[in-house]
Amino acid sequence: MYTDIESDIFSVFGDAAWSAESVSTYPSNFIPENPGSEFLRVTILSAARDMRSASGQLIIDIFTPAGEGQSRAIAIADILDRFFRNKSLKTGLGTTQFFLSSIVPAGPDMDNPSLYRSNYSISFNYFGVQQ
Amino acid sequence: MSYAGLIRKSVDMAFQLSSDIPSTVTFTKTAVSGFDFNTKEKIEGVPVVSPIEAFIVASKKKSKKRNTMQKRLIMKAADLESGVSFYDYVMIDGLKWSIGPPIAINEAVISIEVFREV
Repeated sequence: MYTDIESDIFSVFGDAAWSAESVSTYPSNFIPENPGSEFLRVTILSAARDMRSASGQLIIDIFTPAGEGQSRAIAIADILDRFFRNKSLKTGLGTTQFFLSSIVPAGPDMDNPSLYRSNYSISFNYFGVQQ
Repeated sequence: MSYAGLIRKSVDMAFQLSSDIPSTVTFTKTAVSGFDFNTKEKIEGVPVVSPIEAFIVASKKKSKKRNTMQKRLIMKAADLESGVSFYDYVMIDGLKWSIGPPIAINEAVISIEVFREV
């Protein structure tokens, strides 16, 4: 179930349509070399509701240059909404259905104060099949 | 000679004068260019393996709860011109040690901490 959810979400970032947006994107627990001053970090939180369904949050840290306002992070949130908000994804047995998103400014990055971090999050439900 | 050149020469001399102290470790450098969301794997190049001299200046058990060992290594910067990254690793006495933060790099020496579960 969890692998299915990850596959659904990763399918968006592996697609040519996302690549065309030219926003460098990495999953959590991957350390990019020279990611530049604008990139995204993708984290999936999910919890089972019963044997074949789950709910969770897709959390995306948006890193943009510090000192340049929020506009770019907000523009990226709108791009993310185009791919996820109210969308249903199905690459495996089940379907991952997304709802509404939020964007929250998190302030200067703890590790690199030349970057500003904003948190985009969107909730989802996953409906699998009885195995 | 520039100060940087002078410092590098002094470091060379320090390694030569204490030739029985540095250990020869095998440094494996792997260029990771990105992450492939379709395969769910990192995109990595061919590993480059090179034996280098390193001072192992500290070795300790990291945690009370786990058998994590930590070593600190000091190496000549000239031996690692392309720097050090998280995905590189070091073989010491045939055992693989992973590199973790902090990584300190200056003109003459590179100081790293390596970790291993024992």
